[in-house]
Amino acid sequence: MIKLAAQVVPVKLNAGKEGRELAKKYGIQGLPTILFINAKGDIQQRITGYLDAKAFAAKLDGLGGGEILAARSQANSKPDDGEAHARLGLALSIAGKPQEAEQALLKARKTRYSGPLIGQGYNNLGDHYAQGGQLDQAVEAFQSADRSGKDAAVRAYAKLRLAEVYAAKGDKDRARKTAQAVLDLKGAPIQFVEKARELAK
Amino acid sequence: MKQRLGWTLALCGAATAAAGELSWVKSYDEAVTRAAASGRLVMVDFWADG
Repeated sequence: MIKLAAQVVPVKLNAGKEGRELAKKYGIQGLPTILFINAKGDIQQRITGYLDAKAFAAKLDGLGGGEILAARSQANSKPDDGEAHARLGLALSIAGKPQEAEQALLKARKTRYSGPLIGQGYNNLGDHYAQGGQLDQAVEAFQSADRSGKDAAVRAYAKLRLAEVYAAKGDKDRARKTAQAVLDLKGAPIQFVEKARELAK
Repeated sequence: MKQRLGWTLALCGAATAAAGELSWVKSYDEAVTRAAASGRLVMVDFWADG
C-alpha cells in the first residue's frame, strides 16, 4: 500500500499548454507520462503509459526504499555524521515511518549539522501527522521544522502548515499570528506568502 | 479517454486507501517550492487534450 500524498508533491500539466516548455525540456514523447523530479530538477523516475495501482506502488516503493537503505548504511557507518542521520530521517518520514524518522532526526539534531534536511524531515512528519488527524503531534513537528535551521523555504512551509493546523484546531487567533509570521519571514517563497496572506486576514 | 480514466481511478484508489485525498498543486513552480521545503519529489503528470 502506498501513501502517495505523503511521498510526492503532485501536479498535472497539459503537455500542449502550460506544460509545453517543461515537456520539451524533459523530452516527453508519449502521453501520459509521469516524471518524478527532485527540487533540483533531476529526474528520479519516468513512467510512460498506464500502470495499475500495484505496479505504480512498486515504482514508488523502489524510489523510497533505495534511499532508506543508502541513508541507513551511511548513518550506521558514520554515527557522528549528522547529515547522514538527517537524510535517513527524511527518507523515513517520506516513507511514512514517523517513529523511526523522529529517532534519526533527533540524532541529527545532536550533531553540528545545520542543513535543510532536518527541517524537511520534520515538515514531512508534520504533514504525516496532520493527514492522520494527529494535530498536536503535527504542531510539534512543524515547530521543530521551524526551529531547525535557516532555510527560508523550510521555515515558511513549517509556519504556513502550522497556521493551517491551528485553523483546523479552531484556534483562529493563533492561526492568524502564525500566518503573519510567514509574511514577516525574509526570503519566504511567494507561493507560501500568498497562501499565508489569506490565512492572516 | 477510457484508459485515462482507468489509470486515474487506479491511482486515486491506491492513494486514497492510505492517505486520504491526493491534493494536486496548481502550478509547477508551487510544486517545486513545496518539494524544496519538504524533501519530497515532484510528481508531474503530463497529459494532453483529446
